[in-house]
Amino acid sequence: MRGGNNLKRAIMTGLIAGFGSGLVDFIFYNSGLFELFSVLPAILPMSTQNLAIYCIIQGVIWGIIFTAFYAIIYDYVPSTGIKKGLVYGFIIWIIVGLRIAIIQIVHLYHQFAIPSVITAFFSLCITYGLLIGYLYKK
Amino acid sequence: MKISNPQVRGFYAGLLAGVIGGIPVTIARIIQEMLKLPTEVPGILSVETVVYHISYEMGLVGIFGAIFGIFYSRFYPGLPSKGVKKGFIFSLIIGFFSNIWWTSSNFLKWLLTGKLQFLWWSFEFAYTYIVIFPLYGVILGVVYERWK
Repeated sequence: MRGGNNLKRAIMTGLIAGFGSGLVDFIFYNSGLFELFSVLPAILPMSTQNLAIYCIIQGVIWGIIFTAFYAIIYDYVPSTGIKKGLVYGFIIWIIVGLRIAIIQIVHLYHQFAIPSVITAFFSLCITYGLLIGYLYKK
Repeated sequence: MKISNPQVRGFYAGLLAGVIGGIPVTIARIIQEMLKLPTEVPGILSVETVVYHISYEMGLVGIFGAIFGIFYSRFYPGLPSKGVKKGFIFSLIIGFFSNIWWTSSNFLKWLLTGKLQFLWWSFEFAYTYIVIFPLYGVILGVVYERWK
């Protein structure tokens, strides 16, 4: 996505990438993949409809926020093109997913922390990273 | 002390800021216990638990503080503001991404399910954000500038 106002582009890219990331989250939670990574049953106590609402709202709001910051530090993120997006996605995964997962493990919530951090790797690092790398260019 | 490599400087400044930033978390937990608020660490008023908790928080915040310090050195020129304030702003942004993401996640889960546990978790993440990140940011900013 090129041209136009920088902020507008960042919001649009964040919206699309955040939606993609939320969708991957929903697929992981709803398909049984989330439980597959868990050593104990760790099912979110939500209906499928509520789960979809949760994943999409959370994905879209934070997709926009993360991309606004990406637009600010764009020139200083290593690499180019899609790889740049993947590097940024990886950084976001460390900040959002990995740090909190370790805190949860220390508090003995490992049955939730391990599948969460794996799910977040696919939704934030891979999906979100690929999408912003592909869509957002200065 | 001067460290010429920005990433090494960021690493050590972040480590120091994290180790110091980990201390108020234990103080906050003690206040929680004294005010009879629900806490993740019940019985923290014993010396053994305080020692355990303070060492684990200093270690954990220290490790991630060092990692975030490397990010800080990398993004330093692009961050808004100047000098020490840069560290403060960076830390508020990183903490916002880390803790407030989970605050919003748990708050949304509470709205959708009505389970109070999620509201409590939402409060926990917001509370630790206020306790850790402003102090971490100030120390990171000061130390990073001083070691230039």
